[in-house]
Amino acid sequence: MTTHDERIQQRAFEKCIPLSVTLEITLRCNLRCVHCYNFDRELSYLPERSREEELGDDEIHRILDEVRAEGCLYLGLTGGEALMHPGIVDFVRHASGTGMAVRIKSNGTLLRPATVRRVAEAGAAAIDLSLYGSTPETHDAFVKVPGAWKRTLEGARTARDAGLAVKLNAVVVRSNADEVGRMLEMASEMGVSCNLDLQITTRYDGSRSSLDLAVDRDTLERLHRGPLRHLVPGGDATRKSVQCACARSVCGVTAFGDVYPCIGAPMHSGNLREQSFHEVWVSSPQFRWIRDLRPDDFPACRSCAHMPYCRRSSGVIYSNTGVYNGPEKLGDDFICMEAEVLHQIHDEGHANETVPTGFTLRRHSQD
Amino acid sequence: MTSRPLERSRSTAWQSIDGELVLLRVRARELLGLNEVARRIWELADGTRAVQQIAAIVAAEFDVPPEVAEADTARFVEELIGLDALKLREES
Repeated sequence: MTTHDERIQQRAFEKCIPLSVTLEITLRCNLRCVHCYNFDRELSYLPERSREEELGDDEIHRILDEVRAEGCLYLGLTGGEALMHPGIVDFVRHASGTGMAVRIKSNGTLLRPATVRRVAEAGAAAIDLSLYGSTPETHDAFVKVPGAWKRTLEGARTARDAGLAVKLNAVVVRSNADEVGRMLEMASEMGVSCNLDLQITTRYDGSRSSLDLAVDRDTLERLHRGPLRHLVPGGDATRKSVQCACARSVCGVTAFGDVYPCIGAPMHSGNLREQSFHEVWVSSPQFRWIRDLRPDDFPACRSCAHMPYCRRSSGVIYSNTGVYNGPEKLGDDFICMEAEVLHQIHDEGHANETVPTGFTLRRHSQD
Repeated sequence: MTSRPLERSRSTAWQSIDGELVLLRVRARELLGLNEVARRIWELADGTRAVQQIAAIVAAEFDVPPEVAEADTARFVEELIGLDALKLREES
């Protein structure tokens, strides 16, 4: 049965309405996560850019109005660490006041009670927090800041108790793969939802060392035969679409005003210092090209036997291979390996189509 | 019904999507679609008008008897207040 939400999502996809927009309000961050897609956090900042080039408060307020006017309902404010921006409460108040549902994406370490109260009163609907391990040792080593794990979980509880919808985004990598089950239990014990993300991408700065963190095939198999076994899809043999929501109902805007098909697909499609959001959304050659793509424009995927099991994200594929409608050949990306593993496990009869708990696997372009 | 103006609650997001106005109750994760009259009432509840004023506009624009418009508007507004989508503006 189709829900109202699915109908709205489908209509936005078909009519190209930017229902979900993610806006980076700063690249500054108080953690140094080793997988960060912004830039290698061993550096002080994104090479060839400076903090002074980030959007000013007035520009952000203007962009909020522009994305709203174009049809945005779901607004994600992200970073860097979004809560490091001194204007965050004003941005939330402005956005919620125009009718948008505001989700803050954060590492949670700055969610002190007073901050939570202010963003909640300003109208924030939800907070997504990143979790990189079930123990302080694993998490803190990943984010390279001692004490972060404890503060993140304290922040999650504070936000939950303030009535915000809290979601833990558990990024699954080699170093924490053995802790997936426990991370899911932690979310359940806290009474918050949990998203699992196994797809790692390259960075805006072009560096690719982050990809080394992704789990290998053996680990992926072990996870899908173990704690993630309920997420092995049934395999929809009728599935024909390989197109995701990028540039159709999803869009991303960087801290410099660059517009991307989604925040995870760094394909420069315009800049909001030079054009209005409406101009970019309607006229960007990159967006028009994406919207004109047909199934046959994804030749490798169209002929792939694992397609019914694939969680293909054009953004991830573009980030990692440079080919938006790729991969050029099967197996070029983690996603291909994952689809193959899911297909194999399904055919062995281990699949269970029921998802018994509140956690999901994230498909990047539809967050 | 009070004469205090009605305003939209921040707990409800909304957007016009391809001609349909939808309300999103963010905590309940529930989407509601509004028909034409309901949409107009939602638009008019902008913090400047009380329910009686909204009903009068509805009566005029949709050519319905004032008493019918007032009763229907009041009922719908009560429902939205119950959902925490609308609220009476605080007196300053």
